Amino acid sequence: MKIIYIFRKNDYAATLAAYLHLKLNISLKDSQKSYEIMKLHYLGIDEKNSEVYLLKYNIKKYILMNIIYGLGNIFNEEVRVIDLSRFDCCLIQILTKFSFKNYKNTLKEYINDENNL
Amino acid sequence: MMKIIYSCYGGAHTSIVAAAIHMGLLPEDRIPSFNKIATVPFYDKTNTKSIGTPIYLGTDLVGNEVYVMGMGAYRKEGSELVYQFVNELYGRCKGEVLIVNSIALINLPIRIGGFLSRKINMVAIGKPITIFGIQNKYYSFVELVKNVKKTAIQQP
Repeated sequence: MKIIYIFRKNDYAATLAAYLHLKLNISLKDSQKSYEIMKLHYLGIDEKNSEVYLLKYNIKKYILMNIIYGLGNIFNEEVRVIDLSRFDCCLIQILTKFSFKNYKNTLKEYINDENNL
Repeated sequence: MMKIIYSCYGGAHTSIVAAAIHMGLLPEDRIPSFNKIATVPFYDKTNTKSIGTPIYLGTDLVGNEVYVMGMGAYRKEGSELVYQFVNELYGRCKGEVLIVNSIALINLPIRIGGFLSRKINMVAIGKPITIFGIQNKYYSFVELVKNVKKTAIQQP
């Protein structure tokens, strides 16, 4: 299965989400990564053998979702898209500077819910 | 065998006609009648919310699967995403997928008729206008499909 985290602005939240999913420790260098728009970034394989990707997007979300799920159907590949756009808000980006632990826990909770982990 | 994806804006007119010619639903040697085009499966049917969803039209004589996909204003980004996805699956795109952009064949009647029919739901007026536009440019569609078939054969 391919798990694709999609996001618009918050590269840090996306990286953190993927690392939390993969149960890796995020280094300072990794936390400052930025991603090319509309390019699939492979992060690794989780314990359920699912491939984890990040995708920063700039097109309409429903078109992106239709394309990704449509491709999954065409190529008989199970795909799951997890939307991180709720973490794109500027306020949340600012809050991370003041309460990283809460932010990390919120993100972790969201990922667990989405993945039924 | 390959997956051939004809793409345009909404996946309702130009790509459907090109895919229909590819599948033999429309002729290659003459301009089809109004009714013949109007009754092509999925012609002037897709709505805005289904832009991006591939529509399977069938398998051609050599075994390639033919799809239609509207990509809205994001044909470049959408096409790149498709190729990236396929590359992640197979390590290559050549021989696995071919995206054909049929938006270049759009003319003013198709544009106006498509807007009237799909955007503001004036199907009774818009659809005939699109068909008129398709008929005016029909042999360009045939030429496109012939080139696609030639390209598909040449790919491993």
